[in-house]
Amino acid sequence: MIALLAPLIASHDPLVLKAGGRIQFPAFSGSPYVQLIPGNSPVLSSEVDWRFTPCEFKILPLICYSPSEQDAANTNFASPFKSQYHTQKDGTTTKLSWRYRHWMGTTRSGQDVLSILLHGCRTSLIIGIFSMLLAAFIGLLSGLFAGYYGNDRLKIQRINLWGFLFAGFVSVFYSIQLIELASMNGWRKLLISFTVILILLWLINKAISIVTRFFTQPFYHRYISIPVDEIFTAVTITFISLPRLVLVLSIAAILKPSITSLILLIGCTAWAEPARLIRTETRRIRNLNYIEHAHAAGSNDAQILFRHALPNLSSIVRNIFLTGAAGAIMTEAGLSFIGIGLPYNTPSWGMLIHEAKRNAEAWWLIVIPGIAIGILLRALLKAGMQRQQN
Amino acid sequence: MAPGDPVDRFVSLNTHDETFPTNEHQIDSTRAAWRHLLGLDLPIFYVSIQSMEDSKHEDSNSTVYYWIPTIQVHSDNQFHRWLFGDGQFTEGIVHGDFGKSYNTRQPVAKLLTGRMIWSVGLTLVAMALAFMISIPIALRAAQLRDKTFDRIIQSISLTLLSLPSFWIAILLLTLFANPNVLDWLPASGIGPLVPRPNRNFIQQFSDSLPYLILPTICYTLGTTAFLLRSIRDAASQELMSDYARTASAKGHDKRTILNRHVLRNLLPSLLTIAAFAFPAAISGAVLLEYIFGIPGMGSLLQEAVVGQDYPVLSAVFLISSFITLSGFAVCDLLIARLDPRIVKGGSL
Repeated sequence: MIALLAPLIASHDPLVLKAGGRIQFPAFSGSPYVQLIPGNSPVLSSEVDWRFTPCEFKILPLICYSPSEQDAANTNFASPFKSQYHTQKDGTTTKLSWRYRHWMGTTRSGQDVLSILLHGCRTSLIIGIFSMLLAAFIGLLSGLFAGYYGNDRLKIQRINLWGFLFAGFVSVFYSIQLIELASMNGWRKLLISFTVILILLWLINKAISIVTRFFTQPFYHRYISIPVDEIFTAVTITFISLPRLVLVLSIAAILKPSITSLILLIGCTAWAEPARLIRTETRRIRNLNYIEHAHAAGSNDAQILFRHALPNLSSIVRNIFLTGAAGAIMTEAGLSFIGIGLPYNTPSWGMLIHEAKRNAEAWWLIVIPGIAIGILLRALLKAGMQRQQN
Repeated sequence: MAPGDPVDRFVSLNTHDETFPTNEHQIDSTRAAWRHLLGLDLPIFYVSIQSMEDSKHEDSNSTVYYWIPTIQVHSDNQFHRWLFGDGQFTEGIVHGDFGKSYNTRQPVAKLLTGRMIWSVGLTLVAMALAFMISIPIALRAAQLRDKTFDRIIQSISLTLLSLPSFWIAILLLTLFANPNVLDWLPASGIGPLVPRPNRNFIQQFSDSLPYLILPTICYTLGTTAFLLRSIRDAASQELMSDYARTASAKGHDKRTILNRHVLRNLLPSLLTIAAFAFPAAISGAVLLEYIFGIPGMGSLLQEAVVGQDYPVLSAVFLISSFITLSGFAVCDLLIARLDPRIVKGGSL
């Protein structure tokens, strides 16, 4: 809730503004300009100090500072309990009234801590939720397949396996060649290459099914099982054994810092542990009676997996999601604490703690975001672990 | 290759040099020369599927060649140089040479050896401490399952898990290493800035002991929280098993059951937990070393990331994953030694 409403609770722009007989909603409009005096050209909203601009009527947000805004009168770590100041137009400084106080102090450059806290909550949750969605997706698919098929259930005729590998190779090659020939780029490239791959796969499979009739020896038609489980275990164990933060740090050094790349990074490195849990659970489920019944009733593997097995995994998936999101938020906080991964001006909790490293006096920069992280993560972990016990 | 190219750093570092070219074109050519010298212009890994037309250098006007795939493996790429050396800067990690750091121009292996001791040593000490603290408490909690003591321990470990360790570290620093609050302990480093002369090993150790108290506490806390939960879960499961019930039916008191029967059966799972806690501890060490200024692998990694020092980066990554993987291997061997059933593939 707080995360969603952060731009409304803590923002520089006034919510409602009546100036020159016109009612405007700068915080909602999305336009950076505001018509302050009728007839004059519109002014940049971020350049107006709304706190002390006389208007006919205005409603400022509860915390009238945006996270990137720097309050020049209260720079250099203003404490939440000592008096805060405001520089008037004639140059004299007066005490800031309680309405515009920085309730949780400021950072070195005069940014409001409470505002950063609220916006940082949004950053954390976005990263936690989306990276875990990605990780859960990868982990769920791979875990389901590995758990369900095991080492000996996915059987395929030898000739078909060869044919499939050959077809995959050839179709990828020709899709790339086609794109080079047409010199396309962007999303169109991906789309076209996928369609070409699919069409070619289908065509070549048809061709192979005709060709295979000429291979009459039983050698080619013997079923061999693909060791899905072994491949899966090998991949996940490498991912788990690598120290997570070291891995993320090394890749984050190469990527361009942004929220999206961080989400992708955390999502792609955090899927292994959920996948292993899901695999064990699927292995337990696949021997249960109802799966056999479904099999006997004529459902195919995909139906069994997604219609019968998946609903039974929902509780464990939810647990994994919650605890994993907690881990992702922790990783994000650690990364932004070192100053890697997120762009410099993104409001985040780790950045606040990083700021505190410069000044040991500024206790509010340490205590407040730490407690915020603690509460959020504790809630997530508690919710994730509660249902495990039942 | 990367947004912040290390070559750009070289160029910007050398622009104050008088002999350095000022012409934009010349700078570009120096940049290219550096890139070539470091081998950064080479592809990372060169196995490509190409059409015949690309691989054939003579002009073939026939378009048929465009549609015939060939596989090319090229040995002159960054991966091969990293493995087998480029004959100039490094001999390749196959020969035990990690190359030279871009920033300090020192051999990476030399940088690493001094720093690995601190990281691994502190992590191991912290793990041992964490086990010593958490095993008795967790066993007690498992015994008193769902009683008040267990609840308190559970909530404490949950709180510790949800608080980031670097936050606890900074909090402790501001409390105990702050001249204005409690000036008990030094803030960062691993020993006095100017080492006192004529000190033997024990005296040196006692010199640097106050520097190590806070880091050890932080290292330990993070691991303890994890251990408390997992050991308590494992132990309470063991306590519910048949043999524990048999033992209590035989008339053993609870303490004997716990110490003699449950603890022995718990050993393999304890080892597994230790193996899984180790990578997490190394991850945590990165942040803690950065805070406390400990010259370990974590702070080395952080410097390498900030300074785009690729040889150091890859070496640290390689070493730390090697350490954790060997931890897994040792753990597996020990478990097999402890519990011969696993080797036989019997009941498990």
